[in-house]
Amino acid sequence: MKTIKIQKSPDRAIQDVLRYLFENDKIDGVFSLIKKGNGSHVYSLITKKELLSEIIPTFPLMPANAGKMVSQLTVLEAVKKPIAVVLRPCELRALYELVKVEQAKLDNLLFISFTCSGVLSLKLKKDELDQKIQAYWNNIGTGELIKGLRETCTMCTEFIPYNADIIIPLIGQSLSQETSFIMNTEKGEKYLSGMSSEQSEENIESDEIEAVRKKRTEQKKTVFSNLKLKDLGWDGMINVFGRCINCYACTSVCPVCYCVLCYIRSEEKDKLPLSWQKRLNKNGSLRIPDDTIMYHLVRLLHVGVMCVGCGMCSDVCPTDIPIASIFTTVGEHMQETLEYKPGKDLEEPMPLAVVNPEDFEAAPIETE
Amino acid sequence: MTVRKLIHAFMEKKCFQAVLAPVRIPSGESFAYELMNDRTKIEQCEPLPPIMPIPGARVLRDLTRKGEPDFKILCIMHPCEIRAAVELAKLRQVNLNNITFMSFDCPGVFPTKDYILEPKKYDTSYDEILKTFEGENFRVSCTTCIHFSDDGIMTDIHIANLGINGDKLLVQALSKKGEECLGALDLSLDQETSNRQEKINTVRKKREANREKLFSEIRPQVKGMDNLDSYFADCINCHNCMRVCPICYCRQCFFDSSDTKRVETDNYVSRARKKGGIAFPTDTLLFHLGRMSHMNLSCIGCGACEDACARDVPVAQIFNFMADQLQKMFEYLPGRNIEEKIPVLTYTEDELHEYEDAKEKP
Amino acid sequence: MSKIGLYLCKCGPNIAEVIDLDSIVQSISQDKTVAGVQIHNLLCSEDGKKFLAESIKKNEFERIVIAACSPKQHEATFMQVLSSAGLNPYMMQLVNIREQCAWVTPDKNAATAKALTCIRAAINRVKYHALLEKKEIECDPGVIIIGGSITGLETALRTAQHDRKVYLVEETTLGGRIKNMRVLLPLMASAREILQAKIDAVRNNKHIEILENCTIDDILGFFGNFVAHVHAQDKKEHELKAGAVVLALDAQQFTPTGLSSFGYGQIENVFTAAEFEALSSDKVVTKSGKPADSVAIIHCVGRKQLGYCSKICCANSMKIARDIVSRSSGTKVIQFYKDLCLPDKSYDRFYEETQSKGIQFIRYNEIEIEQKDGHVAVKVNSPGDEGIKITVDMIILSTGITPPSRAAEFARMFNVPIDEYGFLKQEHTILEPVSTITEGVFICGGMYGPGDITDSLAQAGAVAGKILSSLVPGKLLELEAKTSTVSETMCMGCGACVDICAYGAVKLDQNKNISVVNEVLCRGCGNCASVCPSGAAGHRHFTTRQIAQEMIQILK
Repeated sequence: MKTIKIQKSPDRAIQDVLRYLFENDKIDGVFSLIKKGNGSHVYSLITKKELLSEIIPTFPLMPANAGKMVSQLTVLEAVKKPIAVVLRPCELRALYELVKVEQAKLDNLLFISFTCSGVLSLKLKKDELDQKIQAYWNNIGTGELIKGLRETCTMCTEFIPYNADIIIPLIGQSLSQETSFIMNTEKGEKYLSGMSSEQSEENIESDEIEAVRKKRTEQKKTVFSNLKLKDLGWDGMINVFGRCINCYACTSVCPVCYCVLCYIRSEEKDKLPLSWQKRLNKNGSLRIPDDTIMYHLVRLLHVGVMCVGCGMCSDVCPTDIPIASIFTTVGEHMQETLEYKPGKDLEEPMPLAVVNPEDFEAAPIETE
Repeated sequence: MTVRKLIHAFMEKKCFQAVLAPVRIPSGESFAYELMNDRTKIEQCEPLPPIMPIPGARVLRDLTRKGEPDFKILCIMHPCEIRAAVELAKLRQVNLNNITFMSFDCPGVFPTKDYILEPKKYDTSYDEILKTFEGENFRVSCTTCIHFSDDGIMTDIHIANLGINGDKLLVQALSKKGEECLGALDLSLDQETSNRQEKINTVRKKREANREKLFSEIRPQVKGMDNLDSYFADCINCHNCMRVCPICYCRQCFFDSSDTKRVETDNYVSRARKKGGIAFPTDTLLFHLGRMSHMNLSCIGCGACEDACARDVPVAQIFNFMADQLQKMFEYLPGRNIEEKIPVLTYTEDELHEYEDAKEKP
Repeated sequence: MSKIGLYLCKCGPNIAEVIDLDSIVQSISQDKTVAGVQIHNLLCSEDGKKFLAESIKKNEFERIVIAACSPKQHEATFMQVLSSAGLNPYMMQLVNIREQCAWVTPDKNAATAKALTCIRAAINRVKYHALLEKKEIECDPGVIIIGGSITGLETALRTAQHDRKVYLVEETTLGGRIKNMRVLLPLMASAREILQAKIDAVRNNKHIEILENCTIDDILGFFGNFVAHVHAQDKKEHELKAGAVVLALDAQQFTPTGLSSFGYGQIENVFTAAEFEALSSDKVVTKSGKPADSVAIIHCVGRKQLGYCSKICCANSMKIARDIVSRSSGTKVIQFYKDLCLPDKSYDRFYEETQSKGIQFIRYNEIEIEQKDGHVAVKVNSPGDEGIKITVDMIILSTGITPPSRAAEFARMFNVPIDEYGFLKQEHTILEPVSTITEGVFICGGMYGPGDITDSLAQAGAVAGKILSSLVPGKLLELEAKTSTVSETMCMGCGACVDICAYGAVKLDQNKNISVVNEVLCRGCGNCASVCPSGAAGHRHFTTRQIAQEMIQILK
């Protein structure tokens, strides 16, 4: 695919590209991670070209899932003028899923993404963060799994943003001097090709990418076996979710949890005194708030097929439950069974909304 | 006599049919509230846990919002949890009939995140702390809490454990309900000889000093929009704080609702154009200030918000700071008395003139 | 997208003189959401209204913004035009560019700019208006009368008819103050006879339901649709429905307990006029039972404390004096007065007749009552006469008239203001003496000031006249369409909205644990919506979205 190279490190190069797009009236705004004056890292919609110098699109932090944010922006209607959105592969995939459930509109959005080495956990303290950033960039070339990354990032094999209009290869690159912009779609070409006549042909796939993919696949197996999800059983689930305090933060930050009022918090779930009494008498003791495990399982059922493994849930859990790893793992198994890849294809309908006669045959049971 | 033995005695005399108290979870690194009527299970409860993952008022809300239970429940909670429950009762979210509160002197709790990593270490240090009420690593809110005993709370039975060592238990009946319960037991009463009040005063003085110091440090940090913006810079708008807050009772927070979160695209775009950019999720500061204006009068300073914060934003500190001033303004103490109406729901024609007319706001 | 039509009214010269309407038309034409803009000279005129209706129909506009005068002036007018043009009358927003723009400043640019902003805001808002339905209910022509005084009895008799039910609620038994009087001004007629005749008439009237020994607890609703809750001494509760309420309680007599110079409560045989009249014995005797040979009646007791003249006490004192003399011809009566107040045309003659019966009148500046050898002495400083001391057997203090005992409570219950003396305020001292600021709540008897029995009966007639003419059976009441709503799914039943509603229109559904709005009682003030923290309580015509859209335009 046609590629433009800019002789700058990734963030600066992206700033240049966006500046070019602004100056040539190709875009009216930019949606990207920025570092605000008060030190916070936050996604922002920027309309002033001057603020481009503050954006840090490849900074390894995900304060919110950008797909969810773009959904907040476009849930009621599409943007009227073009906006360039710089986001990570899983965020783009999440956004695609949201489009399928009418929670976002993609018209007039230009997607710029990159091959992703993951993000650092939001739980890192400021000084830890500064340390890890250096290690992060040092390991971009080899895809070494440094400590401090979100666990789901270490096992993510969908780190190439197939649907982005412009892809920036980061993994396996040396990055200090040169950044490539691969025009992945016709739209991407239309927007960017006027920036420079010097264009080369590039492929996203490379040996480094393959090596990273292998590492991540290994890590996925390790995490899966550590979680012991297959033999969890009731006691196992109590152990895993025992610390849950029913704060529902995982729901709140999850990009594919799009219900305005989660069923678990609805009026139907308020229990009458008689109901509490019955349950108490059954076991002699009853944990309150109740239905903790059921909440997680039901959520898994609802969103498992759409889970893109972004890992926001684990990062916000106040009691450090490895929700993301569980949901990602189980989710991927569900997706495999239903032969569905979330975020891959806008035309691919949601498996739970499709009735397929073949579905009525028994699903294959894993013997691994 | 221990607390467990006391509970046992109550159950024997059929004062209660069930107990609501914290129990250690099976994996051992946290606690959860359980409603129990099985004796063996009740024996295992831990009335004074070193952490407070969920404020008990929320548990009472789940249990009694739709009506009072048919049986008497002994509810063992920290003083702040009881105060929160009283506030919720005023808001019709908790039904206190058939609930008897048992409170105790509270030295404070550890941050849940720290405890989960090293439960045994914190358990050991807590045993010591219970004797002296001196220790480190508490939640910041606990170090500034002055309602850690029976004053300012509407409780029925109070275990006065500060300063009482050995195998004696100092139990106070602070209401008619409490008197009836204690009266039902055949206990031999001793004269109260401890210097407990002195010890309470010492602890309170220390906490008041901490409070003053903390508030004087917070004040400049939150004056003006720029400072507020910096204070909440790390906030990612996950709304954990709101969800664990015992007072926040709205089924759907206004700041999660369609009115705030599903707004016309043009709205966002024109806001972006006006300032050059708009952060997503939107309305972070609005959420905090709005939530504050809604619940601050009832804020009992438990610090659950800060405990649950995913980004270590000192939420409890600013909320406590504001609550202190706001409650003083209305001479209102949340949780003190169920008859005391929450000021925002009462209308007094003649009030707050000193704030209206003052040029320099106090 | 709804078709929005904008109409700008010149209002003759009022708006056109200051605001550049043409430039507004130009600016608005760039807004693609507005289908058409037109200017008219005077939209509220017959010609204007016709133009508006036809224009709306022709252009097939679906939502209308009118920039003209104050909604208070013509919102209802234009809403009717919309109805006649086949549109829901709530699909309109009236922007005030007269009082709030043209009449605020002579600066044309500023006024025009402000008008444009407000118009844009209204255009944005009207996009989110919902179709609201006007509802009507038939009025209840009945009347609730609080107070079984002679005024209450009279009002009941005059309003009770075959198509109108009257409730007469009295805390004790029927009769009021007159129960304790012997004779009435100005004819010295028998109080008992006159009162009994009225009571009998009321008891025999099948359209009047008497609730004696009952107290009113609260009242909800509005003119044509009141609901009152009353409880009896035996705790039984009643719910009364009516269209109007009449407060007809008797005023009280001032008790001079704090005034030491009059010896009330300290010296024996010192009575207030009311107490004296209530004495049951036909003979005029002192406390010990001895016949009273001499009685002094002191006028103007407590005048300074009350701060107003109670108008009837001078004549009332004379009435008492004459009554004493007629019962006990040997008794000497002296009236000590400060100024004689005789405001009725019959009172001059009454005064002459009183004097002709040997009753003495002494004017005084200062007066003091003392105990003297088992008698009472009156020490008087009269103008021109220093230090008279007179010993008498009994002293009657003619004190002023004070508001009825529960006046303040009723004022709060009925949202009627009270004046500085504690009486209820009339709607207008000259033009509306028996109405109050609360439509449907009337006052008479001692409610708004002192008066004698002729005053009270005249007021009763006035109240009856107002009720009969305005609360016509079959009359339709238009209910507020712009009411509040509570979302069942979002409401947590905390009751904040219940506490804050001034109209008692929000109640808790105990089963579902949520609040419910009574749309008949709701006045659409929106207090519930503002106190609700979650937004479960909202307002049909002031939704968060509507307000936000207006503000977005204004702040742009």
